[in-house]
Amino acid sequence: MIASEGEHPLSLQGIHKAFGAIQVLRDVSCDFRAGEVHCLMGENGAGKSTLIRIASGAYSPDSGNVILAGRPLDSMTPRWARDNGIATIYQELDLIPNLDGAENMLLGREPRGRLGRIDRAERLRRARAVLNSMHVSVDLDRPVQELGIAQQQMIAIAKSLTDECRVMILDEPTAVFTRTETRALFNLVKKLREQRIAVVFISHHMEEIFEIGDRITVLRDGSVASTGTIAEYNHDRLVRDMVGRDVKRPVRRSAQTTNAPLLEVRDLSDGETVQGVSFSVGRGEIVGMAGLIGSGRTETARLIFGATRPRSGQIVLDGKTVSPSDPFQAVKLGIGMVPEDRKRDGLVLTRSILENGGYTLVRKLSHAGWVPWRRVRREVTDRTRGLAVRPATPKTLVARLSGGNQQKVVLSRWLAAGVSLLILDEPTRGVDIGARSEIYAVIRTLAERGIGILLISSDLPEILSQSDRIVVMAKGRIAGELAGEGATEEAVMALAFRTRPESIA
Amino acid sequence: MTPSSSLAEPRRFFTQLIVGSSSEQKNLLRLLAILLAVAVIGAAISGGVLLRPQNLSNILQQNAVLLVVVTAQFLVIVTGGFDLSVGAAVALASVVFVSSLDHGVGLAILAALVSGLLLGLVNGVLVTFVRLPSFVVTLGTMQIGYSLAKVWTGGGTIDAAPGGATIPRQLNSFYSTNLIGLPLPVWVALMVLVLVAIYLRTSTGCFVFAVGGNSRAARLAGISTSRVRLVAYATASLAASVAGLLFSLRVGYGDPQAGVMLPLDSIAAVSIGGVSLTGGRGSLIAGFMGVLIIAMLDNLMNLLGVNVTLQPVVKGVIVILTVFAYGLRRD
Repeated sequence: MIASEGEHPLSLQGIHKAFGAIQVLRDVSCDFRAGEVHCLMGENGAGKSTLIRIASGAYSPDSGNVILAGRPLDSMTPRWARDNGIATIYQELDLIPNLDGAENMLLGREPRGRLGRIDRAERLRRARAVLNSMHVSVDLDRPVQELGIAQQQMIAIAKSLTDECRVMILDEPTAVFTRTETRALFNLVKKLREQRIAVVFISHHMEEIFEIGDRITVLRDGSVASTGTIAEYNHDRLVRDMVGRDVKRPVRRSAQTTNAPLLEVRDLSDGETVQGVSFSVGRGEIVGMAGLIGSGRTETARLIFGATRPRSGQIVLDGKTVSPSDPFQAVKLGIGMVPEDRKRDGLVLTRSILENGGYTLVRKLSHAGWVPWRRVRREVTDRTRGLAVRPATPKTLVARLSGGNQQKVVLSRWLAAGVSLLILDEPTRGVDIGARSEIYAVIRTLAERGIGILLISSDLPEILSQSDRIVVMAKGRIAGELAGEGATEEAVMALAFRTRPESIA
Repeated sequence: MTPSSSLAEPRRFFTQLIVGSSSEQKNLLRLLAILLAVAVIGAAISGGVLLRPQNLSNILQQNAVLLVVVTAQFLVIVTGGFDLSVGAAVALASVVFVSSLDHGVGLAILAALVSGLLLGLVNGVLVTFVRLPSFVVTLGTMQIGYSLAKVWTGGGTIDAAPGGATIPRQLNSFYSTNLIGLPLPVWVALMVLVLVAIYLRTSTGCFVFAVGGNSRAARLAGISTSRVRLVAYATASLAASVAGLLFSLRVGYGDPQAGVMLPLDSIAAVSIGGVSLTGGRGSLIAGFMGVLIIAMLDNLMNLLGVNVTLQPVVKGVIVILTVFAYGLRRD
């Protein structure tokens, strides 16, 4: 199939998509043209990921058309999309870690020699040819798990190129890249553009968009907010289009008047992602921490909680300088944390609600190792009931619960622990709306009891509606602090995208 | 709380003491069914001999050492590790016990237990603080333990302490003495089992499962994962040294090569019991039933006169089949 004049390698027309009651995409249309780098922009949750999943056949739209080289398709599978020239490089690469680059690139399509034996030399030759055409050099002799993430990405892209791809979708490829790695990728993207491939590029770094993009489509709340060539945009317009002027905000929490100081972080650094962070949290205060993914928010939280050790800086809790050497110590000091990735870091999936919700209680109530299980059971049941965990039977394995209910179990753990500071890292990610409001209610109750809350979130409406004060992180530093009338989505986004920390307002 | 649930509370407490969550209860029912099937079929083809009280008592007596070692192994497997040094702990305790009899039985027992505890602490420190894989660590301490036991005795078995003391008469008959229908060693084994079951209901015990299930999450819940692991390895070797005492009392001497097959036999029994070898779940009673199933099959094959060299083949097939069957249930 060769696209004739006026036909684009891939077009999306009037795409609608809903998950349950939530409309994720509304009438989205988009043309991806040959030889163009098309940037998809939007806040977290604007619908970018859903859109590329539809474009790559992972989801099918509720209505609307995916048009491949002029041919409308009503259903696509990822396999079909790949076979027909749509390559998608997700953030999580689908490489097999213990195989080398050439083996990965030609997996399932190995050149065969006599007796069906794999022709290793030929495979290596073909892999090299593709990499040469990309003008990149990658170590093909080692298992890909031993390579850096950028090299792995190159292999993933090269793998797609062996499929004769005509559309290349790159989902936040630079999120974990260093400057030089990004440079190498950009050179490659330029090569792809020269080969008349339509490139779809997603990134949160605006300067990258302006450097590499030809065309921009901005998504907001599941609709196309604007689209046009790169020349029609500047930094301000892009932020404005992403955030929108008339975003309906949830009611803002009435700001607490004065808060006695509880936590003060001074010049905290881990030598890598966190570079001299200072901020404070008062008693009963909810401090929102905004920032892009990778801006160092989670890492800062982990430093305070003792999950990693700081290189330098000071943590002052209740007027005393503390340096928790591990979370065990942090809990002793009265710090609790609900981690970002609840399956990996929050829950022991092989155990029950009783145990997962009760670890802190078990620790608090046991005398010389003896645990008053009846009391633990009663208290955990009370708390999970209060949080409307369904089902509320304490023996149920947490693996069987929905995301929202799992999160409530992790949260319930800290309700009983007697913490004075609770850090919540993306507490409502992947949580449905009903459970969200229950979680917000708990956060407020905790604050009213005088507990200081650090609320890390990528969800701007959430940050704006739940926080008394907002600190914004960018590239490992505090880019600024917002409160009261000055705390708008535009202001948060402007700080989050700020790259030069010395220009703090 | 409703009246019915408060009535159910004590019962639930005791079932939970040994049984645990509902999926584990299902597993136990399945094991019970297997056990009954083996018993009934076994009784039929052995002409009822298998289920005679004396024979059942023998089965337990012959497997008291394994039972204690399985209890130890279970504790380590639940943390997500393996303990290959359980056999070495048995051998060490066995030779230390016999050679210390000069100083009195009480002291000899104490010395044997200390030898196990030390071995367990070495395992625990290497796994926890040096962060080495338990399989490799215990493989190493297994060889070191056996070697030390041999150095201790000068190579062979030892049936008396250097001063001439030997296993006293009353201890000699320990293995054959019955108490309420069961031989004393069986009571000792059951005691170890119950103690470890109670231990698993303490705070550290509850954390053992957390560490085995997801040590990252356990750590971020404020659990001191290193302490939990250290205690688990130390307790396991301590329990294994009790098995070493039983071993010496049974054979009447100290053997630096005792229990070479115990690491693997115990892992086999734990797997037959359906305990996840990746850690974080399983119940001790399931491990116990795993031992009973293996023990009954062993006994049955002896009764039927199956060639001794062929018996391990049958055992091996059963281990693989059961683990295969459990694998089918996994998602």
